[in-house]
Amino acid sequence: MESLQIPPVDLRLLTPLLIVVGWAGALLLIDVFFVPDGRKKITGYLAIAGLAVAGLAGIPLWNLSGSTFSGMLVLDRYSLALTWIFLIAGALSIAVALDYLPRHAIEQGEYYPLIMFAVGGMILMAQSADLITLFLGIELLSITLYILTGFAYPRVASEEAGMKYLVLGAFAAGFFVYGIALIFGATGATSLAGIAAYLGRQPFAPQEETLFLAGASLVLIGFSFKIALVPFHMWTPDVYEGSPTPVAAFMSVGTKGAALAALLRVTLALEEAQTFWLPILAVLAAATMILGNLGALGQSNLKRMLAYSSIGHAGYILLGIMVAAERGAEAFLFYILAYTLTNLGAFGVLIALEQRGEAAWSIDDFAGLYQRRPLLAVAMALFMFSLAGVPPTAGFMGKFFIFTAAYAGGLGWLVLIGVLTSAIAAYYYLRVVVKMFMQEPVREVRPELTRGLNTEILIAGVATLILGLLPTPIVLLVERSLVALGG
Amino acid sequence: MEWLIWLIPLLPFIGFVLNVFVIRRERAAGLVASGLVVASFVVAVLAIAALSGLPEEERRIMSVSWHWINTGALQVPFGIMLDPLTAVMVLLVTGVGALIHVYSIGYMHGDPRVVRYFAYLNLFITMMLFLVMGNNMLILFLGWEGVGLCSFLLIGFWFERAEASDAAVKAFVVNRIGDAAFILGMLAIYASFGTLNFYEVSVGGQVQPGFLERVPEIIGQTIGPVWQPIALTTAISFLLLIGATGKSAQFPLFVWLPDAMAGPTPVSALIHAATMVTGGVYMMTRNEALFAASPTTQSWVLWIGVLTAFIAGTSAIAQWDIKRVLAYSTVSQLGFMVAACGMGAYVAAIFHLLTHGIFKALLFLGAGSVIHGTHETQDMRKMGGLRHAMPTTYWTYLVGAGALAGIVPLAGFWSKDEILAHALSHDHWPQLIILFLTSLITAFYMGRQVALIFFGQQRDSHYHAHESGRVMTVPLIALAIGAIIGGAINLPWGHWLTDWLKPVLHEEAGKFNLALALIATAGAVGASYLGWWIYTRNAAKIKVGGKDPAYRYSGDIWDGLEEAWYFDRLYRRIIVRPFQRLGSFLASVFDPQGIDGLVLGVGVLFGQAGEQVRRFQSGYVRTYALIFTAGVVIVLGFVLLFTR
Repeated sequence: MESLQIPPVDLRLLTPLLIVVGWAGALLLIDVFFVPDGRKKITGYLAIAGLAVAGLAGIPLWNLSGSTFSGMLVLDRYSLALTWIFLIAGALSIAVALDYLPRHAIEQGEYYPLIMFAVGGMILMAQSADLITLFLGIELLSITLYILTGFAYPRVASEEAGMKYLVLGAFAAGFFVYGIALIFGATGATSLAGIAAYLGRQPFAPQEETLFLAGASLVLIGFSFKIALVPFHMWTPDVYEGSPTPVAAFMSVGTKGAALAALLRVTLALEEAQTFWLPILAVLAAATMILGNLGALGQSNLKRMLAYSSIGHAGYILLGIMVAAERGAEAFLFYILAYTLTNLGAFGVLIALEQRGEAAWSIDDFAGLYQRRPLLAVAMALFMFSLAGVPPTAGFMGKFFIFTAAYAGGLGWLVLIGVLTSAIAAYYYLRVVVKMFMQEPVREVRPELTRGLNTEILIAGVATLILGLLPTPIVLLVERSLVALGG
Repeated sequence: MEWLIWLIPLLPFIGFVLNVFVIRRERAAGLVASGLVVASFVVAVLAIAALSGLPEEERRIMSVSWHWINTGALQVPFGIMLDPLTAVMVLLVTGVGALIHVYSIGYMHGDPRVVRYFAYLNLFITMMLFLVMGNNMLILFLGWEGVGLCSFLLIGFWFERAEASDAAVKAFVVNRIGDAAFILGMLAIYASFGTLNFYEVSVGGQVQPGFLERVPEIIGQTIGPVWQPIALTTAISFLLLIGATGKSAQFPLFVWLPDAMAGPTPVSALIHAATMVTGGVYMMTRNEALFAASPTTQSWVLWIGVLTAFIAGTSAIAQWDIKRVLAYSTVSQLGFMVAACGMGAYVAAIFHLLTHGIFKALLFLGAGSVIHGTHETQDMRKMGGLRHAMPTTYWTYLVGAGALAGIVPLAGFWSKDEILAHALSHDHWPQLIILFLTSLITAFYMGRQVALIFFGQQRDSHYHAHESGRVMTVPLIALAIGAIIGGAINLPWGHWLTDWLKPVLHEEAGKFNLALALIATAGAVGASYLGWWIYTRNAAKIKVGGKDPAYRYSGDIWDGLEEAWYFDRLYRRIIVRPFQRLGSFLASVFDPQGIDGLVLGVGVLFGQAGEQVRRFQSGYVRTYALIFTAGVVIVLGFVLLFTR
């Protein structure tokens, strides 16, 4: 009997992931034993430092590419670029939470390592080249998020949100795993390369094809749940509203971004299956753009509005994935970056207005903000303009790239829907601006701006402007990061 | 060395920035603004001295700072230049500009918004310098629009007065008509030549061509429908001509300039007499190669200039407002310059531009001094006999009036004579006769104005007239000296200006015609004496509401002249009113019922759709799971049934 072959493992390729996860594990212990209660901010700073170290550790990997663990995990510039985006999202989400948690009396040190674990799950998803590791990443991310959603423990809304998310998430995970099983049954592989090789050997037997198609559809549905595509989006507004606002901010950009990134890799690897992905994705994208934006239209609760708006944005990003083989992948990466920064900024402003015991999420609480806090109002206006896609902001450039790529890729009718729904979106975004600048305050809401929050809003605002005014360097970087992907 | 010329526009710009952001006190504002324009003048003199040291064919200093626009085919460097033509314009702008800045310190004293005034004035100088120094059409256009903006801001400077803000809007709107044509002309140049640079320029080691050197390439090309082809050169130059009629207040767009007198008087002197309104003349001179290539446009230029000179000159006769006389006179003199351009006498046009810039600034500042000394009186019927109360103003005004009337040997005589002599030697007889008549009329109304203001007895005794302070009279004296000796730059025997401009305009000196000069002088002296005599004799009878003494010689024509040939009324009837009616129809019927109905309808539609979406959001996990499952069934069903 042959001895068991242990495949060569190159841990170098996983440096950022290992640092994030390892640091998070260590931080859990450090937090319990060394950080006194009431000074849990220290844990937060340590977590940010860990994310920063992971980011720096990624720099030498820029010119490296390869796969390890029998090709289950890959490192390329695409995954590295996403890793950085996720690290930034994580760090900013921690920064806004530093003062949010004590102010709402839910300060517990676990928050920060949990966010780090979630970031680790996201990185794992970006690096996965196998459905099994992909599932692992999704679950690592999801389970931490279930906890984080219910983190505001005594508050009923938070608990309810956590429960809902857990039930529906488990539901969706079941479909995902079942899909993987069916695909494995049909092709005998779970790795993207193996599945692609099977697809190349056409024609296949009818039963196998049925199995494969059903499996692929279920996997797609699993993705759709994570990305919150209509009609698998129902959980989003409730969960966002109930969870602590920093968590909602993190989810709106993180989960979505990671799932979209993995979906992009899967669709690119299984190009043979394009003919069957495309019609489904097209319908899902159209429904998502329309219903997401329509849902946001009637919201007077800003947090719910942002939840719906994040659904709508996922629809736009999906356009980029559908034409990834052409210039869509670049547009996709740019949009993810722009959307991440802008949305985190908008949530930052929301957090600043949130007081203990009562949530100032009603759009009326924004009335007259310009008179009380001109700079904050200007920053919020900037984020709203960016989300609406008004130049010269990052959101405009992102939409511009996505729509051009989609149009060139022959998705003219989807671009039309995209543009029309953007027009609808402009209404509810600009309504916030009108409230802030042109109306008198309805009631006294005193924004609390702390150092972490200020920094986060400043970074997000400046980045939103820079990406809109001088997109060229970022676009070049994005283009280079996709060389290895063969996109 | 090249960077030196950047200081010329940048110094006034620094003044603008300081006045906007730093300075809050009146005294500091005036000193800083004036000082920086004087400094700009000094730098200009130094730079021009350096320029004149170069050999004749190399007299063009170019300096490019950065790629302003760099998008594939369209490349526009942000560059300025100094060549002989630009040099004389820069001297006029900074020199007269500096004097007017100093004068403004006295004139605007006590105004609550004086800092803003100086900020605008400095911005104007900056923009005017970009207009004349730009090395391509787009920089010229930047300045062109910039001075238009400053003109708008300064006409409406006292915006509490309805007539001032109305006049500002009118000036802006009328100029837009010209500007639209100018933009089209610019686009046509770009389409034909692929560049907007006047001359070849090297940017970062790469040579970009200039269109003025390549005009011969497009001669013979036509555009337009097959049955009515138009020469390309004609199309381009005609569009530029329309642009010039707006900025230089030519027929049929001249109506904004008389109203522009609602601004402060130093502004009228600087912007609406000496510099900005000459921008059109400068632009046509700069693009002389384009205009020369189209005889059709040239005859249009000539006739527009001649008609404008005559219409405005006759209108100036019948005005009572001291500044409106000068305003119509400015339009008329601009007509002379444009006519000179149309005849191809570009040197004469620039010569007249320079002398006119000096003596018209002098007249306006003198008028400002009169207005100041009579406590804001502008109606000449309320003046009279002021020569005793304001001697300095009187003597300097007399010099300016003489120069405008064309009395030997003042500056205006030489430049006007050169235009008339050119018309004579090139057999433009009908035009010559009209221009000659206009010059007689000019002499007449200046005689009339001097008589009305300074002779006889003061007709309104409600105010006590006094001479203005030193800060205002010194610029008057300086300009008066300029108006006396300014003609020396291009005397028929020396023609220094012709030689100086030769590298740009390649023109030979015009022939001096002694007979014409004698007739013109006799006519000028006679007509101004006549004007003076009529209004001195009847000085006592003139009163507000009464008829003009000349009325009994001219009859009802006088009313028409007073209304400037009813052009304003005509435009109001055929353009403004129909437009207002269309506007009110759109605003009160079409917009609320058509557009708003549509927009609000769409809004309501989407709002209700949004409500429907919200109805599904029950908050129950079971509902969500159900919808999820429905989605799964639909996707799976679709895939398994239709994809295979």
